[in-house]
Amino acid sequence: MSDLIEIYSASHCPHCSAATERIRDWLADVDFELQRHNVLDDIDRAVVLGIRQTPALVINGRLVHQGPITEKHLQRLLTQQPWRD
Amino acid sequence: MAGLSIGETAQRTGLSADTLRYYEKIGLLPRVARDPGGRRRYDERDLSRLRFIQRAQRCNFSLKEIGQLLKLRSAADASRPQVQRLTERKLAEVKAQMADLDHLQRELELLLNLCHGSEEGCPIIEGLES
Repeated sequence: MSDLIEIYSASHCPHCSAATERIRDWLADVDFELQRHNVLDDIDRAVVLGIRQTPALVINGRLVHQGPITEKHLQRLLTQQPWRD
Repeated sequence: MAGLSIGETAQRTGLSADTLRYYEKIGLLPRVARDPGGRRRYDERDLSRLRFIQRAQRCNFSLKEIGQLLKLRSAADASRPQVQRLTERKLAEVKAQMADLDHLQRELELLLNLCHGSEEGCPIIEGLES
């Protein structure tokens, strides 16, 4: 079963589109399913997940990053896969 | 005559004179002693009871529940299980309210961060207007 990566973004969030594009690029090579959420539409779940800023990355139900993200950091997140038990 | 007038008691407790009369009317305070002129005189037991009421209100007990607690207070040993049940119920309510408040606090922080992080406009306002 592939891993599920969710990205929580917001309108006018300057870093959200770039982060989403970087993830899309990575998804071409890595076995992930991607879901995109507008944080204002799913705010209850966002709060429960502990999201305080966007973009926020949730992998298999666990918040792994929030806020601006560099390509290097994203690469490390998607390849280390510490969420896999 | 010994004791405090209603004005002095109001000043001492921070409660209004109307509230003091109301507590007596609904039985939270037993009938307060009167001087020969018919004016209320509050003694130390009344003040202790008023302090208990104020503490219980700060713990979020309703006036009805405080009435129960005051009855139980005068027979504390005999009524311990009832006091425990009442307090446990109130504690559960307070915990639920705290969880709700915690969620609300984190939601407001998130919304505020979204506004701070937005390059143009505020997504919250726009969401409300759409």
